[in-house]
Amino acid sequence: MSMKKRFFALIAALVFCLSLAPAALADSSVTYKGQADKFVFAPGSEYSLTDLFENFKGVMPGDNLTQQIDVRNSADKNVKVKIYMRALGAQPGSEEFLSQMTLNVRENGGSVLFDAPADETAQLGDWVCLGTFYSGAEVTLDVTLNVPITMDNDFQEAIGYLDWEFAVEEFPVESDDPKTGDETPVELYIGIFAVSVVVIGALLLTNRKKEEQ
Amino acid sequence: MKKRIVTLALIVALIAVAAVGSSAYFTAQSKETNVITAGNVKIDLIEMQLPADGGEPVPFENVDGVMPGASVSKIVTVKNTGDNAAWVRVSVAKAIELREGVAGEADLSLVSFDVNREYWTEQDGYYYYNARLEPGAETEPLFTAVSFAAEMGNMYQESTATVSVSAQATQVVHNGGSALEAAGWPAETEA
Repeated sequence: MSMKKRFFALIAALVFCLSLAPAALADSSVTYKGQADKFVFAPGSEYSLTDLFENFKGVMPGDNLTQQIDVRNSADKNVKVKIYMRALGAQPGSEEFLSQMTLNVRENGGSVLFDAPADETAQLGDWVCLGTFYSGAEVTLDVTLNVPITMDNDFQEAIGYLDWEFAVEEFPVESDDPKTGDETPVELYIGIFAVSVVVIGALLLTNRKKEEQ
Repeated sequence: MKKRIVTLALIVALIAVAAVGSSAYFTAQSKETNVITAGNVKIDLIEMQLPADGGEPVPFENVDGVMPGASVSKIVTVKNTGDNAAWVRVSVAKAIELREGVAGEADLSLVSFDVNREYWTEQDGYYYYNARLEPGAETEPLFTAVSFAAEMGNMYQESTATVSVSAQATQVVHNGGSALEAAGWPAETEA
């Protein structure tokens, strides 16, 4: 093989590996995409389209597993949002299985948002603000699942469903806010356009009346 | 007239600004469902035999008319049918039921089997498989034949010998470095 061919083969292999990397490293995500699409949850699973617990499948007694969840504001326009979350607990029929294990949720590896049996709502019984997100901003939730070694055979192949809820409030970006994303003042342009249309219409109407007189 | 136009324009401008202002306070709320599933440990106990006329092993069936000194093909293995690696152990129980009306106590040592001690270790009444059994894998045979001693006398005529095999499995993860060290053995699975 010539040097040139080897070089291209190496480049092709590198490109292939890099193309696989994002899939292998991908976290779960909660993405706010603006008023039209609202929240999008990924990756989902065969059990739930909004499932964020990709790493918590087929858990075994003694397991200590982690799942990172990125929460981000990807709204197209330049909006500032506050994102909140709360836990709604286990769905009916899942309580016994989920009560066997504990969940711990930390924000950016720091403050603990939740630390209790997985069937409970605990510290997330009420809305908790995850922060103010400018366009493109995100935080990471580090979720740890601890399954006790004592969990017995009754729970082999058990499936537990637990609900979380996310809420968002949009706020206008103030002049002293950090500048992020697309800063085109679309709303201002719309306002000026509306005023202009009305003024021109009024002028035309006035002119016509003058001519008639 | 000009004053009216200016007033009208101002009102429209205010309405436009108000519309822009109110659009900045939208809210949204979405519920999502997370799922946790538990894994499994599953095995099948497999008993096969070689047909008398040769060929591939077939599922084991009871054999009649066995004579002293004979050997019966019985190949015992365990297959991991679950999703996780497992430690495996097997117990074997022998019994001889003498013909009705025959007095005496049967000597169980006259029935034996050729345990494969390269892959299996006997301890506490069980045979422990020396290696972890990966999902979909099958063990080496625990034994391949049951032998009836030539010393079996007339008292064993028309008697019934039974070799009962049962297998157990427990998870490999977080559970010791070998089957001998493992804990959490479940109830037995009889063949």
